[in-house]
Amino acid sequence: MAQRIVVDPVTRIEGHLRIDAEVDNGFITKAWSSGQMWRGIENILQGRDPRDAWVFTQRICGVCTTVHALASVRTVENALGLEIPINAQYIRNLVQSIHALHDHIVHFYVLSALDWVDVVSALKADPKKTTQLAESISNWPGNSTNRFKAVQAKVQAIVDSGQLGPFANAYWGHPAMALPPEANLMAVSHYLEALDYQRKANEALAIISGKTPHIQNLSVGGVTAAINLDNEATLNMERLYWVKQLVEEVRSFIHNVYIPDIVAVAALYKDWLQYGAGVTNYMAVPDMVLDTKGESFDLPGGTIMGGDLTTVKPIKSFNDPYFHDNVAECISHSWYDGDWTRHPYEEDTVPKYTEFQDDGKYTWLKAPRFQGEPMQVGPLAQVLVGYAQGHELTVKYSNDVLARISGLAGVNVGPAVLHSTPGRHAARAIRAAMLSDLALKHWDLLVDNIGSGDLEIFNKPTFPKGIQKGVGFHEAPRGALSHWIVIEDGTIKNYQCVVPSTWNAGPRDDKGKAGPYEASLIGNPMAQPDMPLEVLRTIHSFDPCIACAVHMLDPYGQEFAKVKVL
Amino acid sequence: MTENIKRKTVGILGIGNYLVRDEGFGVHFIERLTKQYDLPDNIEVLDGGTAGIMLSPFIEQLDILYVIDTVAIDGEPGTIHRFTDKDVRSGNIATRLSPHQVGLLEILDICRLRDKAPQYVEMITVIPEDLTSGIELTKCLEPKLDEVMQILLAELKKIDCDIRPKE
Repeated sequence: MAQRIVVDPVTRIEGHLRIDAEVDNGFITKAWSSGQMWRGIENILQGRDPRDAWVFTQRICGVCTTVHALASVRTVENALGLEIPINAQYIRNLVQSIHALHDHIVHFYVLSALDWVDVVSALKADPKKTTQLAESISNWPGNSTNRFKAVQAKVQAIVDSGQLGPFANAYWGHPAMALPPEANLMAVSHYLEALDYQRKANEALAIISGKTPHIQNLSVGGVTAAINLDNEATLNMERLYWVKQLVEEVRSFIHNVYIPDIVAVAALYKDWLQYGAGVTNYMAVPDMVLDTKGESFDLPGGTIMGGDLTTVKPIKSFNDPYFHDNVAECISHSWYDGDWTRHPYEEDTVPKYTEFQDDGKYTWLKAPRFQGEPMQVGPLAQVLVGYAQGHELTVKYSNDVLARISGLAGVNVGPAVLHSTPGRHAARAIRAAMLSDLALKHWDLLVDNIGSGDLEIFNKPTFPKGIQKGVGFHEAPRGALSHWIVIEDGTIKNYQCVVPSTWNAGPRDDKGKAGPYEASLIGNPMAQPDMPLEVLRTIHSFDPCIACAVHMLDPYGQEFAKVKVL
Repeated sequence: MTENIKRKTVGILGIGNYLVRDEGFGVHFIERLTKQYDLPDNIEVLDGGTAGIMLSPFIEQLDILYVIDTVAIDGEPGTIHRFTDKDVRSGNIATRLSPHQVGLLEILDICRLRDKAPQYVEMITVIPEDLTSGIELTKCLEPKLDEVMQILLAELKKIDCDIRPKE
């Protein structure tokens, strides 16, 4: 007899993700993903000056501020056919790559690691053996017996105080927790170090973007960060060198800590390499722009269908019709008025709420489709699309990570294991390694170009009478983000954001095809339906980001994600 | 003004979503504060929006933190409630599904774990009336900006941080 479980936010804070799953004989057989809040950003933007849109769109989401700002200026530039100076591209590339480094580190350590790491078990570890384990996979100076002893004492103090703070997890001792105590202790130590390194990335981002969390220096037509290498009030050499040093420190953490930890989780949980694939159509957009027009990139984009890497088709430029013409959104199962599938330029956003209907409407998210197919987006899509095209940096880091997983797991694994829950984490770490190299490369490109005497950062936009349409895309930390605009006589007529988490967390479409979250849960094991750790593992591996809307203080810390077994 | 207190770093953090009407109260508050008042060097101000862990560097530099926010409790819209961090407890990060669900209280927990939390944290909060999309406060909350401002100014005065309106 199938059991229904619901993982549902129950506070009055609206806007979160709800997952429903049916479990039969210890495995998930059906799943629904539901966004519980409607964001009306599209309606707020109508009638406004397109040059101001990015200021509003970066308020959509507190984690993804920079990505919505960047996609927004690109969409207006695309509509106007506006090129931007190469310095502005490099500065934007630094902003996006450093932001992604911050985001990926925080995602793994703060938001996902505790799905795999049992903090309380770390108390049983032998610090000396932990050092031996750590030294076998990396020569990071933080991996010392003294350090591990100190971390253990800290964890003991936290457990003794009864105030578990960020470690207050109901799932300690869950039967699906499988790491030995030494691996758990190493991971807790790295969790604490990750908090230092995310700060370094944040500091670098603040210098290069003017401020965090809301960046200041973008503009339709370029950036507003005046460059004068000798002026203290502008982007000068001292600031640029400080950025470079911080990025180098973060890069070292990624290589010596983040990647080895991901390898350890994937290898020590090798059973999980068979779970969580779901939709194996993938899409990534090209990014890290190398020219003024958006025709040459350091990160490739494209699509893969049915998990077959030989089907890869590139997305080549900001204007590529292969992307422009093939995106649509379907609202058959979404709380909007109608039952259409439309191109973003033609969409409207008219809410029409019903109750949660298993076979009808059950979410505020629309179902984005590419040529009518659901697509998985995110670091895994980007890594596979690059791998399939023989992109050098992607192939190098992917092969390195796969070889290390093979070594530790004692089985030979190839790129096929990336279609899985741990595969998404591995791809994110691979992407972080690539972006740490690319951030430094684009730092060099910027400094060389400034050194050649080019200080241009801005081309002024002009808005002709009549209608212009455009799309701005960005390969964000959670995947392909696109903003679509229709401008009429210099003001915004329509604006749609097709965000990565909508691609991944969206519902079934008019043909009944499930979205990636939903499909990824089918067949996952479930040891204890009242403690759905396995659901959290797979959903967290996508790096969900839809609860952007409301942030009220919840003073009494009500249990947040309530689990109901029906 | 005693030397001891003068050296303390005081933070004023407004949080909320500017696109969700009354949810943006904290953001509107910071805008008004920076427009209308001159702030001494030891007061740091931040419009935190809905950011999560990106707020930790700001918070970790502070001795005293005042947070201006909306609050999810039952009561008349517009009612002001004050809490210290001792009064409230955080949720459970690991069972949350997304990074946005790491709220202020969880960030304070993380700062504590690093032994870098401010000594004193007070939240001055207001119950919202309308959480639909839009960028203006309701008539119910708009006058609360001044009320909360007066509360904050009185608090700052108590710790010898007198701030003055701009000329």
